[in-house]
Amino acid sequence: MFRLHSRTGHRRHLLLGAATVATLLAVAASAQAAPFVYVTNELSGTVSQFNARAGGLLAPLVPATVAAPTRPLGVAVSPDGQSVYVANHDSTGVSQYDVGAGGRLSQRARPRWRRTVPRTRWR
Amino acid sequence: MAADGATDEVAVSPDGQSVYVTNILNGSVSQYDVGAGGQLSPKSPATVAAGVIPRVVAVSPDGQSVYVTNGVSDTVSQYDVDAGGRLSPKSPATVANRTPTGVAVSPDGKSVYVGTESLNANLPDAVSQYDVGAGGKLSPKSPAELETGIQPYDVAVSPAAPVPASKSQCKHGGWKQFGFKSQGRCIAFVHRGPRH
Repeated sequence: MFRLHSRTGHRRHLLLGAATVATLLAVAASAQAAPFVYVTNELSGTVSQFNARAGGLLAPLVPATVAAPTRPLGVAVSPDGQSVYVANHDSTGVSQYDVGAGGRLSQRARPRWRRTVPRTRWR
Repeated sequence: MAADGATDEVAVSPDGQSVYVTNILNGSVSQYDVGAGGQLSPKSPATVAAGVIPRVVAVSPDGQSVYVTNGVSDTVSQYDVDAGGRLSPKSPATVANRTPTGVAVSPDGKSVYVGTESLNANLPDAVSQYDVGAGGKLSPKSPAELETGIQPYDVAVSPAAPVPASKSQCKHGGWKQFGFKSQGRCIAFVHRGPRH
């Protein structure tokens, strides 16, 4: 019994390891990809996201938009390209997004201080 | 610092020596020198003409060109920047758009993206894309526009991919994060520059 358990545990470790490597690769790839372009859509309450391909030609990402609070206005990307911030007309505060693989935005639920150091820098 | 007419948007040149502000009400762009301690003083001339309701101003990464969206004259103004950071209109002074809003320049300086509202129900709201040609002049890419959501307000471009600043950043697998094929290539890049 004990042996069986330890074996599955080992396998789980391997799987976890593979998943970590895959994530790291995806993040590294996103850092090297062509720039991404983000547009706030004030009246539809969304942020459009694009990939700038060869020649700077834009192509919509999938999904083409992510939800934003009502009436998003200004948008800015952090210098490390890992975060996007959106200011809103109707609410105080700023919405913050993580830039995932391929430039896709996902709304950040947790406060930024938990991840001030990019995970990829430390293995 | 007093400005002319209601001010809307501010941009700082890459060298940090000049600041440009759009004046919505009188259709101009104010230009300032940045002095010691970051204090602004007007350049001479203090303002240059823009279109009707200039909204957003953006400076190219090389600091040689400035672009301003004119929300009511439906154009994007393009300016040359001289050694003193002063603006002068390029030829042509404007390129056509439909109710432009935000503007952003790509980190390589080769593309400009402009939010474009549609006041015509038959045309979608969009982001317009321009090539930056010789002398920083804009010309529409093909396709010229891509659809966005309703009333695009602002545009942002992600920065250039990070590059290693020191050999130590290449070591212990660090080279992978910068997209190099090996640690040696990463270190060679650091030796060659350009430094970040």
